[in-house]
Amino acid sequence: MLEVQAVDTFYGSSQILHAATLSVREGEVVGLLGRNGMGKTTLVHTIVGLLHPRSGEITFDGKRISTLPAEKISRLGMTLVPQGHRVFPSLTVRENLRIARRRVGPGEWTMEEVLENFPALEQRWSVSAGKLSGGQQQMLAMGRALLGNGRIMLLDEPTEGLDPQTVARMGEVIDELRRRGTSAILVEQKVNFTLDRVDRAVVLSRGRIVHETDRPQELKADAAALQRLLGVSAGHGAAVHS
Amino acid sequence: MHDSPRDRRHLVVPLLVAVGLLVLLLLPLIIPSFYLFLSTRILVFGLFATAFNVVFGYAGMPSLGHAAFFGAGAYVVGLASTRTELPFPVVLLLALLVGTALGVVFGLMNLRVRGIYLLLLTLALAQAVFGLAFTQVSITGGDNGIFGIAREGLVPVGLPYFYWFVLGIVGVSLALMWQFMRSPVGMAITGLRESESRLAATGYRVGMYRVWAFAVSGAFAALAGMLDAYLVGSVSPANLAFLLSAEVVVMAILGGARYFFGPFLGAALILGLEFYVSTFTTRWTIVLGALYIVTALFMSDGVLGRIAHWRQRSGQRAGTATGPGPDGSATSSGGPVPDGVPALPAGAALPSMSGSGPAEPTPSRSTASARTTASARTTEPRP
Repeated sequence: MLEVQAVDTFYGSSQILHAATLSVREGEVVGLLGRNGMGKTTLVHTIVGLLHPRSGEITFDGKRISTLPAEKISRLGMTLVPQGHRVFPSLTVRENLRIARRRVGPGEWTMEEVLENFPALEQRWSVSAGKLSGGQQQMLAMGRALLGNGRIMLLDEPTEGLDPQTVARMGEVIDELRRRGTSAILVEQKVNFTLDRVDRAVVLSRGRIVHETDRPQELKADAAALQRLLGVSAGHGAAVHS
Repeated sequence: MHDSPRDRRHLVVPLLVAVGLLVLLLLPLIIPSFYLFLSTRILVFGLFATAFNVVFGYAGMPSLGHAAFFGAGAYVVGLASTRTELPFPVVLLLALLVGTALGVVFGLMNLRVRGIYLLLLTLALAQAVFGLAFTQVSITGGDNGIFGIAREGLVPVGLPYFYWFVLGIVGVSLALMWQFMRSPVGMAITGLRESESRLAATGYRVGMYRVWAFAVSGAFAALAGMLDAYLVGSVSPANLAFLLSAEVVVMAILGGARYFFGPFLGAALILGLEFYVSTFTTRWTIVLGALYIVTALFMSDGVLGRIAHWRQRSGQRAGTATGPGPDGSATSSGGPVPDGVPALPAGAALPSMSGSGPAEPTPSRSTASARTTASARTTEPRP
């Protein structure tokens, strides 16, 4: 479905991604792990068209998208939950959700379902998004992405800075995405949270894919590998540190 | 049973609006004709400033070329009324079409520039329109402009009738712009200001919405120019001049570009002050210059922004803040926000577009969300 082939991405003269290669199959959830500053967000931004690779190729459903602008890629069915609860702060919750909404077919997310999953959004329905708490803004960013009803969703650290309750809620929504057969790339610092709900895990280090496994639970149990790849020890709530 | 402060406010706001509308309607019967002329000018420039704010405040695109739209509308009336016998509806349509077309040209020309370069390019485009009007003497009258624009046949003779006519057109135009900014296109235009990349990642064609903003803004600015030409009875290159473009920027900032009615208030303040100061001194432009400097230095949020700030602070002192959000966390705007006060989101320097109209009802649903009560919702009225 999504193929990233030997992509090199630069910020000015600084090379961030080095021949990064990644694939996501139909209905598959792939976890993208790595320490801070290893190029995870750059890879996500390159896939959705906010950055363009200097070399390499990205295809989505067989169509070359590496040179397309972000809006065209989005309309092909790719939605992004950006890092850092990025919403439109002066638009209300209602307006933020409304401009993200796309056509709804069978099995796709409706406004009612989004509000059932995130009741706090309904309570703050007419409030400017900039006045929401960080957790609520993240729920809103997630709600916006869900209503985009894309075929693949890229979630860039959706649980960053959230309380455990909201993290659990985010986990439930990601699990529901899997049940509905939506493909996803989950970028996370929370190792256990990620490995518990992905079909495949990929580790990025210094812009290179250094590890890939389709047995995430085995990686979760392999304390030595976790320590070597991510600098974390196995255990409940293990998180990657910079 | 006692009414809550919120209930009382729900009664007070429509009452104030009704009284305000009544005063506006009865104004010709209350004030002398000179003040009525000034009031009509305020309506016209209020419309111009509000139209400008679609591009500036909402879309976040600074423009120094809006006099081009205003002047184009004025020249349409000048040419139509002195060289043809076109009926008013056709002139109105022509002014709107010319303003829209010019807006599309500005929008397309400005697709690739941002910030200071956008400012320079809009200025250059407006100067090109100015130059055209100045040099095409046989058509535009050159430096002399076009005189003798008559209002006969438009409304009955007399300034009061023309005032009511302008009030009607401005009222309808403001209502249309208000609705437009709340439509999906209007929301996307606001999204431009907040983050073009975020908007693009949601699948919106950023360039198209930049053009939309200029087109709508141009149409209503041309309409204001048309009304001004009818009011003054003449049109000249001054209607297209850089000074007018700069003045409308100050109007928007002084009133509060973050608010729908801010630019209108700014227009009223500047025109009112211009009149008041000029009765005392011939050097009134110096006073206005000082006002512009004070506005730029100390009033970047405008008058409405200052009022909102004071209300927020007084609300906090009175302990009427909404308190923590439903999830128990503090608001991200740096503390509790008093109910009903427009928020000043961190980093947001431009207008909010959330309206004071009734909140759109949420879709019906069951389970946990059904527990939400009306009192749990927070509506956010704007001036």
